[in-house]
Amino acid sequence: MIKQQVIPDFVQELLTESSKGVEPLIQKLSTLLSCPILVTDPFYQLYCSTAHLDMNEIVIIPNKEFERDSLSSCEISTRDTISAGFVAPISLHQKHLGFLVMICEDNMPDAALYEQAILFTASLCALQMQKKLEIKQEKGKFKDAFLFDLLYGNIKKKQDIIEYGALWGWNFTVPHQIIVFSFVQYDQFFTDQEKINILLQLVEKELICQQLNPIIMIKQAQVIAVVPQHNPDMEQFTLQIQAFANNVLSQAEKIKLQPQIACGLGKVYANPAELFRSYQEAKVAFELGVLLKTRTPFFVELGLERILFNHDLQDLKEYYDHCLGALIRYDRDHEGNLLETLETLAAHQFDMGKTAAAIFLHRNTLRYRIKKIEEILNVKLDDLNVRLNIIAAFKIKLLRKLS
Amino acid sequence: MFKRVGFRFNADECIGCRACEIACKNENQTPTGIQWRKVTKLAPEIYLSHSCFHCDSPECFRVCPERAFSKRQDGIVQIDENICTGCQLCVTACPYGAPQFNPETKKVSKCQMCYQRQDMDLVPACVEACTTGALKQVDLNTFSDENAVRSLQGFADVTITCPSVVFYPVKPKKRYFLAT
Repeated sequence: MIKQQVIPDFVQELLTESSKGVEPLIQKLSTLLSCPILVTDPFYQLYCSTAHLDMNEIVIIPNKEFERDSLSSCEISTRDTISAGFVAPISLHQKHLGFLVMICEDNMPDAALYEQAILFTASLCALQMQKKLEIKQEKGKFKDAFLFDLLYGNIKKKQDIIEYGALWGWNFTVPHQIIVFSFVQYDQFFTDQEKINILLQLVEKELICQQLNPIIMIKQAQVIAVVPQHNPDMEQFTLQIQAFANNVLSQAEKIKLQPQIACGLGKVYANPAELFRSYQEAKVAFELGVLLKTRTPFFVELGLERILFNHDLQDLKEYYDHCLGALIRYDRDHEGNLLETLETLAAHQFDMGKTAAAIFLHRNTLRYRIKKIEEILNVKLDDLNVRLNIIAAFKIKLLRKLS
Repeated sequence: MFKRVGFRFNADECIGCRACEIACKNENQTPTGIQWRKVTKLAPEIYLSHSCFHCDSPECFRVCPERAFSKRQDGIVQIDENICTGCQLCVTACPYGAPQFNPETKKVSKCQMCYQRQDMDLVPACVEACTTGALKQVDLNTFSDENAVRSLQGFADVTITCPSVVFYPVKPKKRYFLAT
């Protein structure tokens, strides 16, 4: 005889609420358990919450390693408070979508009492979040087609771009700039979609933090952000955009995103039909930034480097040898490191004090070394033309990976 | 996801017959002195068939003051000769020498990857004409082969432009001697 299975009432109630979305669902769970509930994304950024606290920045510290499909105790730290609670991962088909957190305002109850309800709600949340993600991806297809045409200059009329952009709430009447984020060891066969999606989320989150309507697109291993010039002061805007790029890179370092990411920044263009240039410039800045080890390379600041990079390699090698060859040979014969000293000096704008501090040398020792370098190269290092030659030679070394 | 067309060139299989060159000229009816596809000798018995590589970051496209270039969603870089003023900035910017200036018309033209043929699901004329199969067309979004490389020795630097081409490098040749 088939035994009748009893489905608890709370299952029916949660199921009904889940059709309305994640927020009503956790509201219901909160009512059932009489505890505040919150949902975060995989990076602990608040997705929605039933708690009336300042929860913009939260840190969840699990008391032990997360286990799949199980409840763990944790500490929830907000800007002002630290509370205890339980956390359950929200995942679907081995894809991690976020966390469901229950805050215990008084003392910690027995986890077994809440486990079933929280895990069931986490599964319902996963379904809803996945559905939302799929709708977003479907909408994104139209966006991507428009952004592709924008980035490759296929829409020639400014007015057309402004009208299309308005469909998604983007104001192309203000100047825009393009930033490209990508992986340092990227090649055209790089297809790790999960890592690219993580990078996309980081950039999107940072743009939202800056209160900007994100215009983002994934193209192969690149995440491309089109940023409006919200600050009319160009100098201020450049600093803000640099801070934005730095924040994304720091976030990626924090979550140990591998391979390492880098960025490139194009110029600001007032005419959206010219934005394709900003995109191409950002990609050039990205590639040169990786070679020069510049954290936030702006295309406008890469004048000499671009000329050197496009120049004939043999010619550059000859120039490098002409400028620094004697010093390289001296170092090789005497096992010295005068080239390294000169490189540090050039990197510090020929400032003796900063160079001495950077390579832990006494100023007098550094002065002696510089005199020696001047003798070997037969030049005077206070001559501006000599300095320019040396700086260019070291840039060639970096750009063309000369040893 | 968009298709991203590109070339796949196997240097070992190219015998330098120039069938691709002739097919390109025949298909596009380019004037005398203008060759969109060329075969050059990299080393003894090593040939490279090259044309516009429809780069992911085309420099020609970036420097053009008239916005004469565009990129289709399948990755083909096109030039609109009606917009081109013949300033030749693209000719100097391209590291592969793809854009070609016609002194008679004072316009620049380049390989358009036979986009009319592509729209009819046909491969470009050069690929179809290749007698040994050294030159092929691939979708770079799905192409994956650990033996393929991004550049060949003697080929221009690919760092900035990211050309839509993959190569199979030349394998060391074996010599056999007949014992008499």
